[in-house]
Amino acid sequence: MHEIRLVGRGGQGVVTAGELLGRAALSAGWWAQSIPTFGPERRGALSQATLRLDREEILLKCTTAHPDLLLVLDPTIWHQANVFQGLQAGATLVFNTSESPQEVADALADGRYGYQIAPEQYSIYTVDATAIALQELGRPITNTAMMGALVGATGLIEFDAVTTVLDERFGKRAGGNIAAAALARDGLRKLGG
Amino acid sequence: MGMEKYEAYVRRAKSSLTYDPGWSRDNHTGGWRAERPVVDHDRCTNCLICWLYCPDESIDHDTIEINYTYCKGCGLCAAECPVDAISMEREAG
Amino acid sequence: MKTEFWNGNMAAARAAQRARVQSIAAYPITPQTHTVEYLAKFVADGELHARLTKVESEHSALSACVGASSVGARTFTASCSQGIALMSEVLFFAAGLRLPIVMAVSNRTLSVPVNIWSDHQDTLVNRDTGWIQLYAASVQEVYDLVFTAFKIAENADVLLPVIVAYDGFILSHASEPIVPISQEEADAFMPPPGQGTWPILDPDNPQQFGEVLFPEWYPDFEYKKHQALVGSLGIAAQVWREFGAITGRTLTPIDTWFCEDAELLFVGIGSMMQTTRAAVLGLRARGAKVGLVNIRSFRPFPEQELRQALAGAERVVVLDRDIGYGTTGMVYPDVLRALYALPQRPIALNMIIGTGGKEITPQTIERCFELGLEASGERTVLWPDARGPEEGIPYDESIQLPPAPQPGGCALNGGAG
Repeated sequence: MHEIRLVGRGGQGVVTAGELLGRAALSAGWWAQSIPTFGPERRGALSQATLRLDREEILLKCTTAHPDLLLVLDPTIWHQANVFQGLQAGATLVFNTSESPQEVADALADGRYGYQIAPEQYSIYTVDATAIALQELGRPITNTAMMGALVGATGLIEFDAVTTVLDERFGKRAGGNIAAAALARDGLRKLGG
Repeated sequence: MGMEKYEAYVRRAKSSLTYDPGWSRDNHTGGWRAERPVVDHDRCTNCLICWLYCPDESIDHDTIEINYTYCKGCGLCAAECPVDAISMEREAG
Repeated sequence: MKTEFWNGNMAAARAAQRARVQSIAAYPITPQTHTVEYLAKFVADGELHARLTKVESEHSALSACVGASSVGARTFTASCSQGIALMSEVLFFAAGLRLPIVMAVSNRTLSVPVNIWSDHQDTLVNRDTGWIQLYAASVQEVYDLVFTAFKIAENADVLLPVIVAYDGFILSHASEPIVPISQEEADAFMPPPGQGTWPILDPDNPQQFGEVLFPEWYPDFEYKKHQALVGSLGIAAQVWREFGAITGRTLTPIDTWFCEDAELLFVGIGSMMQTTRAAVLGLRARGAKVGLVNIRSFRPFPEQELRQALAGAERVVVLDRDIGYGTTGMVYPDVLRALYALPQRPIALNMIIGTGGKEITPQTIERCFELGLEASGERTVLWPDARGPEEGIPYDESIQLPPAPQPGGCALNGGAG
């Protein structure tokens, strides 16, 4: 079973990304479950969702405490909460940031994000999804770009399946979102890669 | 906001949960910002429209300085400024 | 049908649509709001031919449903928490008038402290209103239970309203794969709406309802209502068998898991029992003889079935996501009643967990398992996930407490001169 934690800010589409990725995963034969974490909804405040993928029915009805994949939609979100809590060893971390994977690894090691973790335990990817979103959508809403980044980093879901759900969800506005997802998939940088 | 403070107040409560006033001060909503307002003081005419509109009282009445600890980056001040003295700039990251 | 990826609120709305509901009146409340929005959209888009009545409160919502059902319409509503509290008076009316209204409830606790998250307090405090109460453990079950609820409710031997309860956020906002049934299958299974299995207000055939009943006759009426509710268990089981023949999905008043050789059995309602299944699999892998019983039909209460499933266990741990203040959780007493007739009664413990939406994880259940093995049974009600009790989470003693608030007299006294 894969347990994915998505984090970002209210308004960036964290919950939508979790739901759309789950929908896309169905066509790849996954049993998917997307659980948003809700509080008083506030634009800009921390927003989280859990996405689980398994080959059989998922019994757990709770959010993930030990994700093996972390998708960070906002480059500054760690000021608000420890988004790294409970990560499984060997987890894949995909960051929306203009920084390079090495800069992120250094920041994790020296605790610049407020939480010191050993970067060598993780596969670290970065992509400047905010720049991509501003270019393709004209707004810093990074969820669809980061869906593409997840596909690029993990291959858990086919890109075509993501295209299909974006088409279904956004109709006439799907073009920019699909372009953003493709750019993020292709622009992904891997630590040591 | 510190969970320690929750623990203290929940543990102290005998009947209803009662906080000391002023909790909003601990809630540094500046962390919610994706873009920050920046004031061009040379253009500013001190009309105070931004101060009037700011929903978070994050603009100082006397100096027209932004209080970035609490400013959520909503952009109302920039939108309302009649002389375009406030611009919204992307937060670093 | 194609597998869909729906959240619990969508599943409830789609199930009502498949049942061809004719009248809907509901007032939005977190976390139920989607349900009303979805149904409004179906009606606006012409996907559902129903009357959607806008109301100003939940009391009015259920009152409007009572009116619609009284003229024979297949009627649906949705609410939770403070909304049901406001409906409370009308809940008794709906059951007393024997109207087969179906209500979807995305469980949420009751204030105060203010809290929007899930526990079963809102529906369980209304357990004695005469409504059937069914609890879903997954999004698929939300769909299946809401859909079949209409057929159970409208059965001429039942004619009682049904609550289908599912955990707020954990199911209402969580999306999971679900397989709906086609409209053709639905129409073959469900009688067309407005068939009138119950007496209705009809100008061509005038009748009066809800009259005063004098003390001499009142018990007779109460007995009928009670017997109808008791008897609905068998009818629900029959409806679910028919539904299973179409869908291949099994719904039963209770589910049993690893009961045969279990020394400790968990009993409970709602989505936490799915998490408990996951925890039980983990504990079994480590050699623990543990199992569970999920209660799907809480009202009527499946006493016989439960007794049979629990016979042989040395310890029974009833998980309650609610608290009957001053006594026990609200599922526990009914389980005790089922156990009482056993020649060898197990130690029966009650664990209050997950109130106000506190997450119930496999670790929570493992903690309940450890406690369940250790406990002598002298103290029956335990709070493993609360701070304060000895079995709970310890307070951090290093944290300094702020000064205690001053108890006051009447604040108005100061102004009196």
